[in-house]
Amino acid sequence: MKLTAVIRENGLALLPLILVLLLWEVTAGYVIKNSLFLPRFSAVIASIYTLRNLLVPDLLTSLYHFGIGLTLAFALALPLAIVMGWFRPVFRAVDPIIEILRPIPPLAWIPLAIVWIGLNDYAAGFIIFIGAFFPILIDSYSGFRDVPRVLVETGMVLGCIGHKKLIRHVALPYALPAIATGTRVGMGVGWMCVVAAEMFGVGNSGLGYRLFQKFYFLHQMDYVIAYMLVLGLLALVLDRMFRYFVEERLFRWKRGIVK
Amino acid sequence: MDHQLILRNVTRTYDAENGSREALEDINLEVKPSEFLCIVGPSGCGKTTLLRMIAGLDYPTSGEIILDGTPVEGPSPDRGMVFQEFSLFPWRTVLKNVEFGLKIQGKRDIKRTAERYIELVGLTGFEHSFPFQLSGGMKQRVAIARALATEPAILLMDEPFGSVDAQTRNLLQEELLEIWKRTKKTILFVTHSVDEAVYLADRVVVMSSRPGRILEVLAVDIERPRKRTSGEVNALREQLLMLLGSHQ
Ligand SMILES: Nc1ncnc2c1ncn2[C@@H]1O[C@H](COP(=O)(O)OP(=O)(O)OP(=O)(O)O)[C@@H](O)[C@H]1O
Ligand SMILES: [Mg+2]
Repeated sequence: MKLTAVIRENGLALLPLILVLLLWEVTAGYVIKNSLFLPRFSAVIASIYTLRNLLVPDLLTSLYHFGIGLTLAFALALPLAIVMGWFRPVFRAVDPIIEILRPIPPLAWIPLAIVWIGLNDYAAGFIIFIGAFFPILIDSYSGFRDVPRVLVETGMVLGCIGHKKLIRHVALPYALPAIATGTRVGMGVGWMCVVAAEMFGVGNSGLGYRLFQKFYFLHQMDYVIAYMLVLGLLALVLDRMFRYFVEERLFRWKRGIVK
Repeated sequence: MDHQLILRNVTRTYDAENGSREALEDINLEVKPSEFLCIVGPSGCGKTTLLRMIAGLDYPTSGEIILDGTPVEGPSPDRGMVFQEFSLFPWRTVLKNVEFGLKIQGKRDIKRTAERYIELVGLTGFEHSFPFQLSGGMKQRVAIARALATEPAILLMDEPFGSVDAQTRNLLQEELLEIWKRTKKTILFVTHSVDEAVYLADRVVVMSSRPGRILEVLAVDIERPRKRTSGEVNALREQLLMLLGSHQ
């Protein structure tokens, strides 16, 4: 594609972005002139290059923590969502517990994570798990709860006898988009917990660990911001990948409803 | 095999705020094998309830429903149902919707069977469309094909053409008669259109509202193919409208 065409198509999105970055550069360099308070954008970019050898291992560690937390969250939330969404009494019995636990900020679980699990990767994974679990659970059980009665009864007259078959052939496929939405939201919340999860000394690598324990400790704000940008961009990439590989492929049938 | 359906003293009451409400009262009916039976009645008279009980999705508070000598207990693929509202599985294509019952029942050669029924309802070429890509009439055709595919003894249809335009409706009625002629199914067809009942039925069951009772069962002894506006059709329509009108 020609440069002019790129600009014409993405101008509205790109122009303000470039302006903000320029403003940052100029303000930091000529107005504030204090790299502790606000390092220049160019300095931050340079830092990313300087830190390239640290970046990859840190990134992998963080993705590892994220993977532990998210896998655990999904593996526990989905079965619970099925029984809560499908069986009314289960919902009524379990919902109060969920509603009491849900508003507790994930970071408040850090002391318990340390006492229960110790200072290791699983403790970090646990904090991310707390963050991701509830969004996945709640969107998913809504999906199972909202299956239209006529679809359930259609399943029954066509031979789905018993809960197992109805869940497998009717409720689960109906709920999949809601499960996917919950998972996406859960991924977002889980990622936001990564820095905090690595802050309390579960190891000596990880984006959050480095950002807080090393760079901030030494007041290297250009490094801090460099890692902040990486954290943000990585979340963006994860979200886009999820959308592309899961939602767009799996839910062609929804197009008439959502788009 | 002769599939005979008998309803004996069927009553259904629902719990309401102030005690209970009778939805259906003392329904007695014998449906002959391969009969096309229409049920007409005002809104809320219990037509859906009646079909749901025959399908096994609801149960009588008293009385019994007997199919081929055994009481109906729960749903079974030998009673196919086309619902009043759209009931296609939105995540399945036309083909996969029609295959559904066959697959659940572990039948063989399900693709071939499904394609045959898709052809029967005139939707060849739309096998891979999703429900959101179909018109209302097409969706009901798929629902009919899906209900027929498992070869039920009885086909229960709850105002299947209620939400399509008049022209499509006429077309669908003709197609349904054609299918009925070919498959020899027993069909119970609920409608609140008197015209539709007279055009389709061997017999018409007329119901009254609140509680739903059978007012009268009229035989439609008019040769097929029927003309929608012939004298005898009009006379019968008149009679049905009178019956319905005087009991509202
Ligand atoms: N699950 C239920 N609980 C309580 N009342 C019910 C229930 N199902 C149906 N009813 C009542 O039974 C009566 C008959 O309802 P039904 O849906 O069978 O009517 P219908 O003849 O199919 O009406 P329409 O022509 O509008 O579809 C109504 O008064 C309705 O309120
Ligand atoms: Mg009804």
